[in-house]
Amino acid sequence: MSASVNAMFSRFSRLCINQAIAVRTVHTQVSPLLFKVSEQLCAEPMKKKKKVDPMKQFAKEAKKLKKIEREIRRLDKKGRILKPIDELDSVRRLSKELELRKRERTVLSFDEMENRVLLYKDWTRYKAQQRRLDCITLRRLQNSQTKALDELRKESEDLYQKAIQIDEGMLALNITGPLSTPPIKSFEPTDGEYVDKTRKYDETEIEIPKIELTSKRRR
Amino acid sequence: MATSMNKLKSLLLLHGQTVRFISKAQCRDLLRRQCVGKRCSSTNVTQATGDRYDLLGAVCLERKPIIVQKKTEIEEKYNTMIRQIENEHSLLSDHELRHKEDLLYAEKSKEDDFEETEIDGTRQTALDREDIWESEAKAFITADTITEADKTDDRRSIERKLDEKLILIVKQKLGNTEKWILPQSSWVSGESMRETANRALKSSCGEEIEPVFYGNAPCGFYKYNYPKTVDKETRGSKIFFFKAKYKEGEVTINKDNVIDYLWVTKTELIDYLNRDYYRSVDQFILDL
Repeated sequence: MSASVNAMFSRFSRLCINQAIAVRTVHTQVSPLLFKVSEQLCAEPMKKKKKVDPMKQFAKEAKKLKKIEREIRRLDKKGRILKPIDELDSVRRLSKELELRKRERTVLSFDEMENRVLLYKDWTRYKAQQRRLDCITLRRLQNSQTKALDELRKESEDLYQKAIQIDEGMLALNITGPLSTPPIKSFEPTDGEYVDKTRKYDETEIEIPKIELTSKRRR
Repeated sequence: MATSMNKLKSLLLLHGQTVRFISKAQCRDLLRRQCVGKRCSSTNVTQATGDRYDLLGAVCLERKPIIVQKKTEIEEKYNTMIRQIENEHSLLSDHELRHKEDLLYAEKSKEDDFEETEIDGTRQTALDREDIWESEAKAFITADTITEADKTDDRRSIERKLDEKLILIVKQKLGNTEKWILPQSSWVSGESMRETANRALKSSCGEEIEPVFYGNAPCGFYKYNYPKTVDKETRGSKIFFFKAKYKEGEVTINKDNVIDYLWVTKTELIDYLNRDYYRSVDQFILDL
């Protein structure tokens, strides 16, 4: 009987609390482990860390990068825009409408053509004569002036020297030629404000937004 | 050259100038000038007193044409032809396109199933616009090309003969006779001939008148000898003409030395001036 009891105890021995078990403990700290009863100071409660979906994060970054790249492309393009030439613009427009704007060919009669040729010849003769007269007039003017200068030199070298000086006042010569009708004396221009509507294409007009491209790109 | 150089050096020293390096051309020029001076002085000695001339500066003040001259027959003809040819080679203008569209529209509107839209109702045809332009152009009245002065033949007015060049002439007492001439005055030592001419204008026609001189050089010359009966130190006068453009200002004649003034065209000039004088003046006045 006693043997069977012993065997039972041995079976329960694992559950036994009082059993002395040898434990080796090693301390790496110099100071002994002591109980702390005072409150922790100089600290705040820890922030709750946000959980971010890595995929979402990646998409966000990519979006930003795309936006910047788009901006760069736009700027590159704008930098190359040149001042438009109005004359060329209308040429482009007209070349599109060329077919529409074609005029019917006028058929000239023989007499008409003959008349034109004769008029051309008359005109050439007329102009040639005019030119000849012009040359004569110029020579006449030149001779007159040379004679005057020669005579002046005979009288006084000093006066001659004064006469052949360049007249600085002649430059920036302003001539308003003959018009088809004389000016109206009592004419009063209507009142109004002058507004300059000319478009300007200064370089300063293109504003380059300030984006710290390098720092963002590095990210 | 060496001897002439020495001669020149002595000349320069004589004139109180320091001798400096000068080019051969300058040297020649100086020597020549000296020779000219010598010759003059020698002739003066031989030909007694009456070989000198009075120097006069005169101004030919021109009022340029204000309006264009009428085209000659051939110019008119040629102009029309050129315009015609230009038109034949040209493309249709916006206005002509509009007119073309108008014609199409008019044809369309004759068809039975035509429905007039609101925009069509307010449509302004090319011909309508032409009418508007015409009436606008008619409303603007241009100034008359024939002025009051032309009608009354007032030759003192600067407003006459707008399409021609006018020249200012004055009536001055020369000796015992009154003569029409270009404003002139005698040269005073110290001034240039151009300044004399300018003074001539201001002293005879008032300070208000504003000329623009064409350069410093005279453009014409006229010489005349005094009649033998006049006892004078000089033999005659040499007149140097300067051309100037009329800019602005009224002519107010100085009664002391000028009797009258006129603005005349070149063709009228011959009626007023002395024949010889006119021949000299004619040399430098352009026909235009």
